Amino acid sequence: MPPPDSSHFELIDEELVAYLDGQLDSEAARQVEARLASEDRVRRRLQELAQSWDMLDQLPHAVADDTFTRSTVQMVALAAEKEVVEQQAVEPRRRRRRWLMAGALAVVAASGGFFAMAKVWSDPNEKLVRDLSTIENVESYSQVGDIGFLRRLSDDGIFPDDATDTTASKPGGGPAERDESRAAKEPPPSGSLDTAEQRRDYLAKMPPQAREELRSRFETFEALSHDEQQKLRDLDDKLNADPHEDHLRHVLARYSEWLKTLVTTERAELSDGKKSPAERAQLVRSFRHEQELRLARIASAGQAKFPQFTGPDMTALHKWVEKFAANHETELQKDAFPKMKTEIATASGQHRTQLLTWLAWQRLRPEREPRANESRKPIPISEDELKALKSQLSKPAREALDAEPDKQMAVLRQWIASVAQAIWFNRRGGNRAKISDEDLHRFFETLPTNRKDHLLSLPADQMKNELRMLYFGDVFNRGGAPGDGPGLRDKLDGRGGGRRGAPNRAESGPAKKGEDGRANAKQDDVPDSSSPAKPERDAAK
Amino acid sequence: MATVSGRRGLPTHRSPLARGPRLSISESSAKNFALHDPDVRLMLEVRDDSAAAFEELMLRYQNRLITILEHLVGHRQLAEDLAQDVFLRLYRSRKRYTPGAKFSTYLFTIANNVASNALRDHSRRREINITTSESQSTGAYGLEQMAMAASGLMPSRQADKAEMREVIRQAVGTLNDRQKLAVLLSKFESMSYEEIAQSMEMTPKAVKSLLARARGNLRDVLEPYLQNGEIRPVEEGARDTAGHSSGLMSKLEP
Repeated sequence: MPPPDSSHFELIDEELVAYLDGQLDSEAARQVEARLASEDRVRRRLQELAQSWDMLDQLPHAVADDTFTRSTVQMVALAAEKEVVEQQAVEPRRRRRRWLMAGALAVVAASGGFFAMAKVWSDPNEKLVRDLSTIENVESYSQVGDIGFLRRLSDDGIFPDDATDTTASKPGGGPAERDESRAAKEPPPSGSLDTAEQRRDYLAKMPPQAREELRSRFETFEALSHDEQQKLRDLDDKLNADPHEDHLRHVLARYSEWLKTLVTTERAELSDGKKSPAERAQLVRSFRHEQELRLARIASAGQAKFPQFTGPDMTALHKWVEKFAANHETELQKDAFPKMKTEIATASGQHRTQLLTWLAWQRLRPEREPRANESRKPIPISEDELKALKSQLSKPAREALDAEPDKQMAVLRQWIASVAQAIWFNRRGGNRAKISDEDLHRFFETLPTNRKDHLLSLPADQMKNELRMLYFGDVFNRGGAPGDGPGLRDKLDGRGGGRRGAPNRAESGPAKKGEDGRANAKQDDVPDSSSPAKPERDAAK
Repeated sequence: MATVSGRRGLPTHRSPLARGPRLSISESSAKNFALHDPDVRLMLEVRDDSAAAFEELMLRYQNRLITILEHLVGHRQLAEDLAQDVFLRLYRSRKRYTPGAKFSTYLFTIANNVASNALRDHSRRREINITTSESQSTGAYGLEQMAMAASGLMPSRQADKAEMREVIRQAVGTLNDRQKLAVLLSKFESMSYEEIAQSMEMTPKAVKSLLARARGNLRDVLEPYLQNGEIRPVEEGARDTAGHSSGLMSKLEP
């Protein structure tokens, strides 16, 4: 019998390997088994293939360290922020473009541009054209559900036009605040393209990125039932016809952005169709109230550790970090992660400053001490830089740093970490609930005279800022977990609802939920890997 | 089965707005994946902008992803950079995600594209400085030492566990990139041929053939060790980039 040729053995190997992997159907497996039974050579080959395969079990498995996890989450958080910035930047242009396109369309039509139109939009999707405005807003419309709830949010002033209720994060003054403020001024598209032709033209000339986003929204819309689709169309019609359309769309945009700061269960609770608009609005207030309390907990924890550092000191620190970032731009960029380098290289103006400042916050924190083989080392703070910062700090803060000259760098870095944490928490925590001036005033009256004098000596906005921090600090210092006892908590609860609308959650109350460190706290503090434990999920894998 | 198509870097599913033939995923299969794969459910939450779900997914997959990538590219730091790139792409593509396969298949499709780009760049650099590149990728028991041992300059000896691991690592290193990825997905991820095919954008039949050649190569390199635990040099033939060992047939001959 002539020896088999090479292709024959290749086929044998294919069958043997597939047999070992359990990838053969029963007939093919039976044929392999028949050969194994009759041919020593094939049997030996199978054994060798199996043994060498088993040896691969000894290959090492990688274990990612905390630095990897943290830096990856931070990168993604940055990407998310950039998305928001870009979306908001696109909106006004898109609106202008629509009008320009409408004008261009008239010219095209006048010059017999039918064929040109047919060429650029050869596959008109009537449904897309008809429901364009609804599809563009499918996510936010689905979230808000009906116009009654939107009007209720508007009437209650839960998402006000101005962004003046910024408080503890003011020292950070990070991008998110400016973004929110911009979002408030730029309502989403209002469906101003009246005719189908205008919408077709708009679609045909849509840039690839926007087209991709619309495609995703179209799929979301398509996945809805007929009734759900109709409900969203009705909402769109009512919004378009409302005399306060712009304001309602502004509330809609802010509500939609704020929802991203909640975990899935909270979002589900808010979208519960059985709840009335008033109940849902109450729930919104309650969630925002909890966010505020969590923020206060972080701020007050920082305050407790560094009582000498006040609100104006934090403002000074933020300005100093921004300047530090500008002075150390090369170093910051050099050791940044590749994606961040790209981000910075393509960013300009304010966005670039924000990215560099963000890097500086990270590189100044003490927990950024590197691994032995890591190149990203904390950037040293020079004597001149320290001096510059001190010159901007309050006397008590300066004294705190000077108290132990050997430790002042360590104290400074810990303070930076504390402020950075509060900033990040706040940025991911969305807009804060409004605290009435009456509440603040009443609280002010309870303060000791020297504290009052200090506050009165500050400019109005700084005074309000610091007063709010003291207000929430008092809530925690007095009552521990909010919701458990008397004092200012009662005022908060009375004003903001305090407890969840759902009866089965009333017993545990909002504080308990926050205390157990579940996902909402974690989500709000995404960039910080020291956030609390993750929620239990299916472990099947 | 779901279709994973073509754009470089990301697996995409066709949508009604896409031109050309529509390759759709049936609603029932999408629901099926969503119901049975908890990671698909997590990814759907990520699609809805849940940062918590994203972090959860990342924690579940980061070790697995780095393991595959490290064995693929041979450098831990590069593997971590690539893994970050994969997670970033995963996040950026979240709005386009439709359950059409196991989540791991989706993720490793992205990983495959990211790694392919990196390896292509790396091979270009290797052409410029092949000496440096090789010396970096060779471990404590490099090919030269193994060759010395085999040629009698060093006494033949039983390899200890660390040496054996190095031999195995080098044996995997003899595979070409596609063979290596198929082997790693099969070994570490226990993927079926169908799933590997989706991740690597090829047919299951081609995967079957690819894996057979890869494992034939591994067997050839590891065979002496299997016999008596001795280290011997990796044959040039086994490092054939076509992925087929020239010594295989002769060994099979009676």
